[in-house]
Amino acid sequence: MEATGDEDLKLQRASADLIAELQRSLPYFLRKSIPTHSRHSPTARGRVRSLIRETKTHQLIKLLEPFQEWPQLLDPHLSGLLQPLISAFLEYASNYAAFYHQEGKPSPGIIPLPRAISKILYVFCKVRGTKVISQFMNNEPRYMEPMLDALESWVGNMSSSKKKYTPKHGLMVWEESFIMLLWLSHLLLAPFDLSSMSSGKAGTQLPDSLLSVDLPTTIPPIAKRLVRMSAYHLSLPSKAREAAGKLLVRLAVRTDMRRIGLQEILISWALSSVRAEPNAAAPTAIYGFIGILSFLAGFIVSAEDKVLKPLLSQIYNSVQHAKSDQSPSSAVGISSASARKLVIKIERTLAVAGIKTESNAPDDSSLSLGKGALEDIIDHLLTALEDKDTSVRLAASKALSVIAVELEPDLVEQIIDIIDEKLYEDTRWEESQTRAVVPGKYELNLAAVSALRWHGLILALSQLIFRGSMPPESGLGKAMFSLTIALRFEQRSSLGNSVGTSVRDAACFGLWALARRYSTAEIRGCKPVRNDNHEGTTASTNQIPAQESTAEATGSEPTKNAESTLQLLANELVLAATLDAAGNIRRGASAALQEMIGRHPEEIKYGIDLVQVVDYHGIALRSRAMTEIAISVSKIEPTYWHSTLRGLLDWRGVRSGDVECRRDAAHAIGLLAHSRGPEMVASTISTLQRRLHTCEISKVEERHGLLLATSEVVSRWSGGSLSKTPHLSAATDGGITELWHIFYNDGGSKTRSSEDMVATDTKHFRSALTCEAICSLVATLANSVIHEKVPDPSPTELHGCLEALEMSLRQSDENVLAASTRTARALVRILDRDTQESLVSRWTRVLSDPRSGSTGGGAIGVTAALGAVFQHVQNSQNLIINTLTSLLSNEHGIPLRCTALRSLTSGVFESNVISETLSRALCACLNDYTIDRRGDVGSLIRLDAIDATAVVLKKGLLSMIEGQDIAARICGLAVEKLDKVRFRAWGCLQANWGVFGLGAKPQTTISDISQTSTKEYFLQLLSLCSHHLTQARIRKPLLEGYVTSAGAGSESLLGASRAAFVLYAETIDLATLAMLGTYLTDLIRENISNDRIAVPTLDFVAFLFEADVLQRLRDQDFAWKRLFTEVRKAHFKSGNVQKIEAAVKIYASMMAVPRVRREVQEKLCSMLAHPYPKIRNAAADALLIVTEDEGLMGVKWSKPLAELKIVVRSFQARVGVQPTVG
Amino acid sequence: MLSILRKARLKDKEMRILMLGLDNAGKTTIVKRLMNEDVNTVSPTLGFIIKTIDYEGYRLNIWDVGGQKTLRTYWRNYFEKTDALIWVVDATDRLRITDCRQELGSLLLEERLMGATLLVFANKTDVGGCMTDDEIGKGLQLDAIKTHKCTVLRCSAITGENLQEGLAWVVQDAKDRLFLY
Repeated sequence: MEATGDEDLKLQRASADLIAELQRSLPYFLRKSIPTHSRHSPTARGRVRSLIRETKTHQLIKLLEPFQEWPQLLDPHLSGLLQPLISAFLEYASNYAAFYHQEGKPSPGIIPLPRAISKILYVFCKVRGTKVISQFMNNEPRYMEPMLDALESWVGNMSSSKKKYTPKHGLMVWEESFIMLLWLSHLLLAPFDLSSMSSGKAGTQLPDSLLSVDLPTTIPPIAKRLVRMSAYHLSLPSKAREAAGKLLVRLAVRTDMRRIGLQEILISWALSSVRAEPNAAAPTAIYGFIGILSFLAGFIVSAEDKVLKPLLSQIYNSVQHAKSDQSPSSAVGISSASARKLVIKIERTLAVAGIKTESNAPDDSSLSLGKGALEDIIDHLLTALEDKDTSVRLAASKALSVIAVELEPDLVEQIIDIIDEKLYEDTRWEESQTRAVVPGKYELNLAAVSALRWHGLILALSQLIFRGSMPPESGLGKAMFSLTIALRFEQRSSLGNSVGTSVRDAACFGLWALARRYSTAEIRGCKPVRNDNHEGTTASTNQIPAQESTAEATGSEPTKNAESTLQLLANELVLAATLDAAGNIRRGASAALQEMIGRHPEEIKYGIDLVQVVDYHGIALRSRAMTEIAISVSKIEPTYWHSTLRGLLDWRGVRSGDVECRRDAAHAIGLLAHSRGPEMVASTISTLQRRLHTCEISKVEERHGLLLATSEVVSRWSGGSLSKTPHLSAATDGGITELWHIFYNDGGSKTRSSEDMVATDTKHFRSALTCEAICSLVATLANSVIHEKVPDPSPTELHGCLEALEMSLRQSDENVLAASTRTARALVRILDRDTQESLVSRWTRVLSDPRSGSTGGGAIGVTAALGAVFQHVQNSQNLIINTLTSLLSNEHGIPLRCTALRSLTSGVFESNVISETLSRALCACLNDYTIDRRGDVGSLIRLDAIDATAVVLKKGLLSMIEGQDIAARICGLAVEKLDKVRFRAWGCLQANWGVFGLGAKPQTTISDISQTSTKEYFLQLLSLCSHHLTQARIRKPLLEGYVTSAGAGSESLLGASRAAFVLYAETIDLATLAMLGTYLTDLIRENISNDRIAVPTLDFVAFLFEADVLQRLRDQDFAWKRLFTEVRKAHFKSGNVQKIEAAVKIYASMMAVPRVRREVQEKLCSMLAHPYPKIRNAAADALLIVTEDEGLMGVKWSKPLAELKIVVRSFQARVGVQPTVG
Repeated sequence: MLSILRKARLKDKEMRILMLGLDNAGKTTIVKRLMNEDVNTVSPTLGFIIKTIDYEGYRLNIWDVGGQKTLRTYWRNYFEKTDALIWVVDATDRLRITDCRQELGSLLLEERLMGATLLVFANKTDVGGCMTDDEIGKGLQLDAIKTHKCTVLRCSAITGENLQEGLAWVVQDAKDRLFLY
């Protein structure tokens, strides 16, 4: 629905590449390459391949399919692309047809060349049309026989394969038969006698078909074979049936075939088959039935008049018989949409031929259709307009219009009357609810009609107009009336989604055709009205309810009879073009508008400006069409302003079922109200108010839209500069002040208080919408009071507002939350101090009440509201801070804590307030690593805490030391393993780098989340912090964060962060490196019981050994012993295999350090007897590398410990280690 | 399903022709002459006018677009795309031939008009002392146009010279290109 509108442009740009790619790959695809040294002959081609990879075929098809929407782009290249395919196919069929079927083990993925070519050619047919593509097929008659031979043998093999025959390359597919039959029918166009084109071979026997034709021996063999082939395919369910039908038609209409009587045989065969009482049960019977119908339809379309005339009544009777036949097979056949479509096509041709015959030779009854036949056909077509299948409705509407061209005008009038009657059969004129203020107005209720039926009927009207067969005097007015109604057609399905797009599409087509077909005078002479006597009105004509409602909706005087017919239609089209939900309706309406203005100059007010604004490209996006294009239209002329407002208040706007559409419409109404001066603001508001009053209780969505629109209008008004015309401004002020009344219940039946609304809507489970809308309105009204545009509300009204707010705070919906927070902020400013305080204390009580739970009972809403009002409640600030701070502690749920953090950020910190406990709590939040079954939910807290910190740092709320501490924490988060956290933390760092006082500034700015997973990113952070690693407050969080990335991050993150560290280590001197080593040792010691840090640290240290980083310290003054001790302690009595493995890796590397070699070796030796086999194995590997002791080789370390004792003992003895106790 | 009607357009023997050029080039007069209307009462076209001409069984919908209007909006719509461009040059107006070239050049750059062929009508050739074909070709730098199939015809809207020939060229070209039948 929200298309960008540039797909065509994109395809146009890409098309050159797609075609070039096709042209490049086709030759290699089809033929074996020729040796390069034979270059001298540019026409030389390699032999065709006989087998093709199926995937290659699909690749080529993929290149073609994008052209489906814009086949014209292919046109200039068709010849170049099709020729190689055609010639390769012929070469194969003439020379290699016998290789097609090979027995053997199936080799999937490999297909014979004809199959590949056929699949590609079929896509061409699908994209560009069969007729066009077949023109490119070779038409030399000498190919007729080879082609037929190939097809016969392949088809024959296919059926015989059912008996224990395994084809190597799969079975023939329908695309192949389709293309070959198409080709054969193309070859039949050759003007030579058929018998001269063939050798007289009898051909091979085809599998039994349900359809068979008995042919006398006088028929030449080639024709027999073709008939047999077509008949066989006519009964198949595949698309090849269509091609077979065509082939048979071509054959039947050939002069030579008619001469020898084949035509007659085929027709009588077809007619008798249609009426035959068949052996019904066979499943293919339907397809055979459809196949014969398609042959008949094709035949009567292509046959010459003099051939057809004698057959008319015969064919007609057969078709009537098939239609009405109750026998199972016909009944089943007629239940298929394609059969019904074919019957309609046949009837259409019969009717047209019948009318022509009658007018030429009215006396010769033997040549006519028969008495009453025409009427029956038209009657059937009118019924078919209501068919459940779209294709049938399309065919029926086209058929009606084609027949109508030939009919006498009075007959056409009758048809139009019937259509008109059918359209309004299930409609009711009822007193308008939305326009109740002006009595006596009626609107058409379409709720009970069928959208399918309307589509068919409107399409029929449109087709009649398109072919110019609608009589201007009698039919046009009615038709225009129906088209305008149809252009607004909308129904809700039982699921609540909108239906009726196809009806509106048909209406666009009709109006477009109307503008093209009929002259200005003809259109001007008709009024879009419909004579209809209905109860309750004295006037017998129904105008489109456009004018009245426009005037009514805006409260201005209707301009008497000012609107010409064309202007009325243009108004409707403008609305559809700017506001309709479906993109193709907007575009269709805009095209119709162009025609209307271009063909009837000077008829439509500011038509040219209109065309410029309502542009095909501009209206592609619905939101843009509604909020930009519609507003531009409304500025052209008051008429368009009024009609746009009317449209926005209708189902296309605030009454839409789509919530985003209602929001857009509300936004547009806000803009619209202010686009034509202050008097329109007042009138818009009063219109909206009136609509709100009359809005039915159950119409939650409509009310949502109306309230939002009101709020948009008010907000724009109070945000604008003071009006220069005071009396108008006063009117507006009055209107807006009145809006407060919405919020209190005066006990009358007409007005409902907001409380009442919410309460009722809650019953409908839809209160979130009402809450959102009411909150918006309260917020904008309160803001108006703050800007001193309107007087304060009365206490009762204020009470009503507060009630609405309280109710909204209990909603968990995000939109409501945002709106209610805004409302709380605005509303609290117009309260007196006592009310403020009592409000805040009531809210804090809600939060401290354990019963309210962590999420339910409105805790989240209230938490957000507390932050919002903080700034404006001087006396309760401490209470708010304490309440919110206590919510941060981790006894509360994650969502509540996040809300509290956000609330603190936007309310408290932004007001430059912080406390010591609060900053401590914030630090704790930055360090939150809560894990539950959803995973690292603590990250949600960290993210919000980072945002909070950003504000705190920006505002400079902390002392320098505190600030640096907290910034260092952020630094650690900027290197931790979660992408989202790193990115957000870096953003905070980048913005507040000065707080560090580090001097150096980051060189590259990061703007995309993926940039925080690169080597460069980590390297930059390391170098920036490099000089300050001696300071524990920076070093500790940084390393703690870093090890999670470099020890436990995802594959790519691991790589990037480790590589960065190695690069960094190369730049530093040994003393610094030694210091780093010490810090890592400290980290291990500090986190001895915290596996979240300890495991990745050990992994990271192991990696640093592997990368030869720490080896540089081998002979340096470095506390090797201490490192060894800490590592040993870290995995002491641990059950964490990953941790112990990391430790073993570290030991293995430390064996190379002379100072600790002995201890390490001892430790490893003892680990040979570790309870975990995996660890024993790892320890043995480590020892083996260093000692190269053969006694360790070939030992199965997974054996029970007792069996290993001897091996371990003897090894320990060899290396001189005291045996340890098991 | 909804594009069925749009697809149906392709099959009809209909073409959409945009008639463009600087103001006072004689576009509307050409259309009127083709329609056999009175050519003496032409006033400047504001916006655009659509006329249909039946020619050899084809329906040619000619969009006569006023000289100074923003064009984007006429390039295509929901039901039709542009099949051919007719660019009308006032052969007596040597002064504005550079303007004319620039306008044409920027029009041809538009990607959405890529498929259309271009007919240049050198109008008012019944007036003495007008530019020759060569002058027009050079002035408009027609040789540099590689993106569109293009031809120049001298014509006169007043005498009707070469107008039918122009339409014949457009139709023949479309037949070759679009496989209309």
